[in-house]
Amino acid sequence: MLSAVAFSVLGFVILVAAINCISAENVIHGAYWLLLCAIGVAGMTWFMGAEYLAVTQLLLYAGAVSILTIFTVMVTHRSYESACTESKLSVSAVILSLAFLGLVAYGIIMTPELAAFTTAQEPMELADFGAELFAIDGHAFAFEIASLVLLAALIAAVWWSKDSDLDGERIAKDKAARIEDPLSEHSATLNAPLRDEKKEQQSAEGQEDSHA
Amino acid sequence: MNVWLQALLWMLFVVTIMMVSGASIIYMLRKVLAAAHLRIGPNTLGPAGILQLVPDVIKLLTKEDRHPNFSDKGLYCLAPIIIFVPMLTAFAFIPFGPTMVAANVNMGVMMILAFLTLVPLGVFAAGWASHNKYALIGAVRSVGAAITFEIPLLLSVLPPIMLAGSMNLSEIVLAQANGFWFVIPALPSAVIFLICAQMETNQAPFDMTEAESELVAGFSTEYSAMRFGFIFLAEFAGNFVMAALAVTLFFGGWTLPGIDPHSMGIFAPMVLIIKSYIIIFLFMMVRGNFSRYRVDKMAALGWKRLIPFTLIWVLVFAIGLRAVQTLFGAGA
Repeated sequence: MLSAVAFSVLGFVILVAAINCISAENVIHGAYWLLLCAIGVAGMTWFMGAEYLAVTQLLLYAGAVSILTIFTVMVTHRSYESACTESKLSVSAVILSLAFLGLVAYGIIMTPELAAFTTAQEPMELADFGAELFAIDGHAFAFEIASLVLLAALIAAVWWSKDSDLDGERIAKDKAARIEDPLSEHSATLNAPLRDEKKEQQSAEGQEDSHA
Repeated sequence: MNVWLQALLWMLFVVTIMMVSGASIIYMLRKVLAAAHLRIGPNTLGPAGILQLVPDVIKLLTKEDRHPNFSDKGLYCLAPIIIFVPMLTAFAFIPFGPTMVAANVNMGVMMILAFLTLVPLGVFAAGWASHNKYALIGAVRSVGAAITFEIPLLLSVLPPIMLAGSMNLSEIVLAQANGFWFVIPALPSAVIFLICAQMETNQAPFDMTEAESELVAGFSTEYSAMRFGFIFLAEFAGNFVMAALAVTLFFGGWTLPGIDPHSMGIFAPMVLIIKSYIIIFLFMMVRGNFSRYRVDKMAALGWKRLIPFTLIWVLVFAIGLRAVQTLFGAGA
């Protein structure tokens, strides 16, 4: 009875939060709706008797991932205005998510143990859980594969950030050039290197045009 | 007893403990800091200024509750709640005695830490929604600090869990009552835990989120009245939660060495509270004696010192513990 009430309330909260998360125009609001959604999912796993999963969900998704999401937003969006974008409905995204939903539903229906699952099971002892997770004939292989996915994501992120590194070098060079400028001159010369570069670029473009 | 009535009574208990400890820690902080600086502290109202809290509360309750014109109103109103509620929930998992724990769950340690990781999100919401540049700088610092100290904090609680073989806080306490305090084999973890606790509760020398000499009042600059009261209370309640968690994990919790834990009775909560206040006194002496860290130095401390050190220490500790257990039998 109690868990049925909790299940309905949490299900409602999760749905509302998820819908608001994808339709929010302000990216920070979206991040906080995602936080509420993660807390709701943690609560639901708790009522299913999966204590360890619930705590991990709360600690990693509600705590750490939300912080990292907000950290990313802070690094990429400089002002309050640029945090807002109009949300558009993408047909391809709808099709993709419906296909994913279908795949997961098919998987659950086709697995008799999952389809017959009811709530209020006895919570598993942590030591048993660890033994099950890391046993060679248990889930050790899947666990290692998951860590490979993370490693691939890490390498991809480093590879992508290479270009912005070059930008950083250019900015550092500009700064160094500005510092070398004699300080006794008028303050307008402080920005001189940047302006010269722009002029050069423009003249180079002009030349190319004339060649064409 | 009726399930609902029991739940209601536990909630009342948790809220009372939080309110009372929050208020008394504010008074204690003033006195301890004043003593550390050779001042007197509040001394006019009541004996030794103990009634100073009454006008404080009246002021908080009667001030005008306003919000800045360009603030993000929904998030601005929600932020103190996001800070307050996880802190209140964390109180429910602390064992005050053999049966005195509002929520006795197997994952007690992790539950407290999981709820405390939500607090920086509330701090960020407060700073961002205020639409004030000082508040925003404080908010960004809180997020940066959160990803700095949470990893060493989580790693530093692992040795007591390994020693007790359980994440249940009541079992960790009983394991210490039957053997020794876990601070003896795991002293480095206890030190790192206390440093990270100081960061977690936003206290000097790690209070960059509200550094008053640089940022007015940081993330809480625009808050007034009882909304500020909630932030203030949550901060001091956080002191008690971290101190009580430190006592439970490393200093024997509600037990005393040489005394049968089942004969403690009414003294159990008193022992826990006295031990916690000794830890809080330690926090305050650090606060009174060290100057504030620079924000990048704190990140360097977290990433370059605390995280590598705790990783190596946990590995060494785990190997050592297993070696001792195999050499001297599984009883250790």
